[in-house]
Amino acid sequence: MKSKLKRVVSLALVVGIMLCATGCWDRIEINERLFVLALAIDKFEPGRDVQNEEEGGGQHEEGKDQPEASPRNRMVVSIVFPNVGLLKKEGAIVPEEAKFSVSTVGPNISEAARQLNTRLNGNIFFGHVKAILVGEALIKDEKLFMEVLDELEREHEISRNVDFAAVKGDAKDALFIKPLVEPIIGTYIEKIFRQRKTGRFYAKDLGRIVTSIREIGGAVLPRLVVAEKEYNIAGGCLIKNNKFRAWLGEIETRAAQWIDNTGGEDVISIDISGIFIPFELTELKRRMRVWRDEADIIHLSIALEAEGNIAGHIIDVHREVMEQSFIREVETAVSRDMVAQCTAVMDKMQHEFGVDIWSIGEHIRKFHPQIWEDVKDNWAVEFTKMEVDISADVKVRRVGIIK
Amino acid sequence: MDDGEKITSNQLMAIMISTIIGIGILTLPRTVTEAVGPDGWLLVLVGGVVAIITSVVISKLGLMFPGKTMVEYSRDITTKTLGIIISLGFLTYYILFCAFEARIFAEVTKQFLLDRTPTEAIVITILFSSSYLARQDIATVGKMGQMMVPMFIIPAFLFLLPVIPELDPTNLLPFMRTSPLKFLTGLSTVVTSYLGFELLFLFQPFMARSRDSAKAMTVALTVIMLIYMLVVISAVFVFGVVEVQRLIWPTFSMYRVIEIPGAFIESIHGVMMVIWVVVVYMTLAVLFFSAVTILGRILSLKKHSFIALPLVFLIYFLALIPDNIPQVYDYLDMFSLYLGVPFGFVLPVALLIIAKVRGMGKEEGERHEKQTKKGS
Repeated sequence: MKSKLKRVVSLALVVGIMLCATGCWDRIEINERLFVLALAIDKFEPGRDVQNEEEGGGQHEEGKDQPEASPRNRMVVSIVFPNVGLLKKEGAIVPEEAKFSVSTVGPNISEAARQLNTRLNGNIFFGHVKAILVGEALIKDEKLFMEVLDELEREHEISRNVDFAAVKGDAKDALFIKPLVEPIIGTYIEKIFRQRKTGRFYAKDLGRIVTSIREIGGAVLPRLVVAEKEYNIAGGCLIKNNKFRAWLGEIETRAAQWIDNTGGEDVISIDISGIFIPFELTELKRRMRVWRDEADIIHLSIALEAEGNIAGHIIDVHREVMEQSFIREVETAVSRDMVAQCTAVMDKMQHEFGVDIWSIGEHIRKFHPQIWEDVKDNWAVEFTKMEVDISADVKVRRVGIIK
Repeated sequence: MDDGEKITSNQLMAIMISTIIGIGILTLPRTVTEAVGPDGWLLVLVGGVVAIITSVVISKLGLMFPGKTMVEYSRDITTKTLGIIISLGFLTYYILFCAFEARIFAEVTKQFLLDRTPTEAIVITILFSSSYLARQDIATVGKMGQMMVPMFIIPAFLFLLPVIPELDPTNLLPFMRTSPLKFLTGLSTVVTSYLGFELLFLFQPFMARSRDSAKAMTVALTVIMLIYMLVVISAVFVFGVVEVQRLIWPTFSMYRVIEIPGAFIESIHGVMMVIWVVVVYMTLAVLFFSAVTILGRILSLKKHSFIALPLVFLIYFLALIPDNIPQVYDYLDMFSLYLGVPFGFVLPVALLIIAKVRGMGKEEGERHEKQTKKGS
């Protein structure tokens, strides 16, 4: 009898402990989460047309509140999330769109996200954000831009290696288009960033950009231009003193990446007696050397070593690509072209903008600590005074499969 | 020895590795980089050597007074009152250590994993589960350590592999450009990340062959030192010296950045979090066990297991005192500087010197040796 009682009591205890000791405050079913894939942040400018629209919802009420100018309305935060319901096989009633984009106005990202929660049917989750876009107007507003960067960096759900781009115009527009080739917007941007078949934009992530801005107040963001059914990510957006300074062209950005040793594959076309010969750049190495002369002038020498293929000539000339003299000619021309491009962008950075986008200061800190001791407090000026010498050694390795 | 339970030197190593690696490893890359910039890994190395030397000192002390823990021989070396004060100091030290461990565990878990779970719930859960181990005897703790150590060392290494192509080794440059003074100041902070090794005070008499303790400690601390260096170096490789100083928990942020290409789990951050729970559990359990044992020995109790539960509540309230994360870390800095360094590093050396000056222990040690010889 006693043992029976004991058994009942211990069973009750076990069940009781199981009920009390297990539990979870953080349980969110996966279908209740809205997986944000891209985040776009703009500066709110009262005069301009900001529709509080919801794509896919299709309901545009008459006389819907237009956000007004108020100190609280500072930025437009837009998110895009995929229609996970489409993944269900059948039976479920789901909208047809592949993704939903929504946008709201708020004082900061966190509050804007909470405001979006009042309109959406799930929990906004930033853990899978693939791309963050910032609008032109936002980058031009130093204070707001720095606030946004801090908030993005502080949020633990957002990874530091998320792709980051500056949008010419409104970043919000980028989330509301229907891309032709890849319906899910965040993935689309991520895929453009990852393909590395061109060096026409700097693929830098959030962590690198924030660090660079913190260290030197400047950075180059990739530039994203929104078209009706696609994006074009090319060129760069130069940040100086924590805010927008200038747009950089594609060719400039490519040359800047050569100096940075981050350039991917690309094609350089050179004019040789009227034919634009495409030179496929397959490999690029850069050597950087810094020294100081007796007059205390810092010299920077950049030596590029490029390898590549001749990808085209003209049909009626026979055998020319097989001749060493022609190959030398191509090599010299490519080398001259590369040096000219690099020199131009270096000159621009040194004398027009004064931003050390290549972290040459960091290079000096690492490899020439003695020089760094002398220049670190005045690096912004020292950078502009540096003597730069750029050279390129180009080798043609292959010429395709015809003579 | 109350219960006649013994541990092997492998078990001692496992206990040490799982105890010393705890909450400190999350912030280590930041603290050493803040102190000496890119030479942080060197600081970790030197700190490890200091810890090894001190543990050899402790092992010597233990051999001078065989079968006795610090609680007893501190009375022999100094006086009875002073010995009790030292033991009470150790008790306070371990209780506070537990409280910090539990609180930081709760804060980090809340930040990265369970953002709606109340801190109180996380603290009390980890405390209760570790008090369970603290009630057991030393042999159980040793076996537990042996089980746990491979569970976290292997994945921690494996998960660092995918990041190798993105590493930038030049981030460790310039090499050795820190002033010696700065290095010495930094040393006082880095040695605190090895705290826990002084538990040898308590565990040595339980060893089946206590003469091996110095060797076991050297191996254990070398392993810890290598793990620390790996973490510091890879965090600096990934982030660079400037970025790493901005991150509160660079070690976690590093695993957050790592993506396994094409794998089902894209980010291994969550997995690391789970592994870290195991790490903290072991640290907390061993510290808890030590507090319980010290208290039991001060009160000369035959069995100490019943002290564990009341201590849970004391530690729980202590853990909840700081208001916010910055305050937790402020208190932790004070704790490691004013309690950790004196009890871990200064006291053992002082005790050894006093014991030598008073010419103590040798006799007893010789007698012990004879006894063991007779025994064999």
